Amino acid sequence: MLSLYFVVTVLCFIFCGASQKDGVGCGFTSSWLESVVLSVKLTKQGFHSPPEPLQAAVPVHGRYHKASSSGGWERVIIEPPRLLLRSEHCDTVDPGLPHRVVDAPCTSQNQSLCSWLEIHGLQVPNMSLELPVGDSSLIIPVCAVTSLVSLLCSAFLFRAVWKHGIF
Amino acid sequence: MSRGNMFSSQLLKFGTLHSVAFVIRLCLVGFGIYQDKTMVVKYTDIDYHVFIDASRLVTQGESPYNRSTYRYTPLLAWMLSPSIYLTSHFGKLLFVICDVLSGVLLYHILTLRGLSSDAACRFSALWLLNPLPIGVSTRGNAEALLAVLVLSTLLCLQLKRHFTAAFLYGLSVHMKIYTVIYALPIALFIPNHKELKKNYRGVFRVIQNLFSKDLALFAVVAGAVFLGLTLTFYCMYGWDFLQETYFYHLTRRDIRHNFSPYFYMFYLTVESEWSFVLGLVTFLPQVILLLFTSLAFYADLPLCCFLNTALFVSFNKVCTSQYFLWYLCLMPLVLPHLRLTVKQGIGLLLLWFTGQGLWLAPAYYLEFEGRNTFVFIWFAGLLFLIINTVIMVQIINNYVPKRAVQQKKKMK
Repeated sequence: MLSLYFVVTVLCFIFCGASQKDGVGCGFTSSWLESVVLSVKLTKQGFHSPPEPLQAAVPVHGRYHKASSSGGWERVIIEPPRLLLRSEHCDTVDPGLPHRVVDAPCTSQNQSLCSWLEIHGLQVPNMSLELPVGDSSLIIPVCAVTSLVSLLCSAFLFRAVWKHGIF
Repeated sequence: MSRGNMFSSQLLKFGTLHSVAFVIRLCLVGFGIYQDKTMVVKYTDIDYHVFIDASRLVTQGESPYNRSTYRYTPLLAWMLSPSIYLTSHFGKLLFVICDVLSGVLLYHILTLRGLSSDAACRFSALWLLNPLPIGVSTRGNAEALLAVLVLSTLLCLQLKRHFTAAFLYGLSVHMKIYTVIYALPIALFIPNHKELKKNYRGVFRVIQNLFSKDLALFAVVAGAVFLGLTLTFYCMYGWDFLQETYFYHLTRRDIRHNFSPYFYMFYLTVESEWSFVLGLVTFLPQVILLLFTSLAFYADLPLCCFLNTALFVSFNKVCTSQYFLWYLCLMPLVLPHLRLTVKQGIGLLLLWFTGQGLWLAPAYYLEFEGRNTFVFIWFAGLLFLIINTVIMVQIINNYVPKRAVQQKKKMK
């Protein structure tokens, strides 16, 4: 149901320079970290990639939720993504609050853990989706009609087999 | 001379038909490679990637069930291992070959059932040139393997090669558990071969004949193949194998929308305490009808298997479009015996497609547009069951048994 694309746009310019004087280690400078911007865009078609600095597109397949008593739609909140950064050739050093170092798989293929810098304090609004759900107030008519139709069809077939079958 | 000519022209026709069928499929496999490379919407079915991933795991000595959603026998993963060593398209080629092989088997069964070569070609073309099996096998679904196994079981039974038939049947139940619905018709058919010819029947005689040597051989061989494979794979891959290959399919109750008439009912009651009772209520008509048609039509095994499959699929708790192939491969064996005119046949076909269309439209709006169309999908599912019932009843009513056809010929 409802295939949506959850486009995470990460606006950052990764220059892993040698500016170690800033006190963050060889990873990222604290002034640079402050300039990181994260924006989330929810699009329905999803199959395009505008030339933004860094983009991660995550397909979101909105699927069945528990039927609700009034049917209609159910709002699903999608929490903002976490932004993890790591520079390629050296270990990420803990820069102190608000950011912190977490362990996560190194790449999507390489499942061994690496230290990543998790960026906090990004102003990203919650996104939400509306997914259609079944109407549980219809349980009784749905069960009754379904069973009735299935029974009638069986009876109809039974009669035909009885008439033409060879016993 | 003239006989030689006739033979060559028939062979040509048989040869042409199967070559054309094969070439069409090869072209589509090629087109699929192109589309997968260049377009966003992929041609290859997601299942094919699952097969290949599982096959890779197997060649590395791991369990195929480490690939999530691999819910098939490890045999399939083993069979596809050349896909890892040679070319990733090997699997599709195998499925395509099986697809064409099914056509050959259909042709042979039809000629054994008394059809002329031309007629047999015409009817097997309904499978060979049918867009549905063509699409399914070229997109990398393994249904054609089952078609080959089921059809070759039927052919061997007709040729009274009970040992081979039993081996193939055991293998097909191992591959897809649904084929277990053919067990009763086969068990009734084997020992009553001779009686059927004498036109003498009776429930007691039928039961008495169940203790025959041929049937015992069949049961032992088929059982040994099935149990042997199950035990082997259980030892190799443990509980995962049983769970994914058998129990998952037996207990499957998909609450995602599908063609089953029961879909919405199960979706709404998934957490309710009557869930079990409802499961039973829907299971009973299916089982009773299967038992009843098996008893009524076992003498004509292809018809019986066709009806059993169509009943099973129509009344099943889950039904997706791949399931239609399970009875479509038996359809060419039934059609020559129908009294229906071409017009009536086309009418029934259109009715079936209307049922499909009426279901697909709201399903599309739910899936891609996020509209709340559950009630329409439910109605369409029920209507589709009614349509399937009407078609099955028409087939039963208008079926002319083999013996009657032969008698008519003699009278002429």
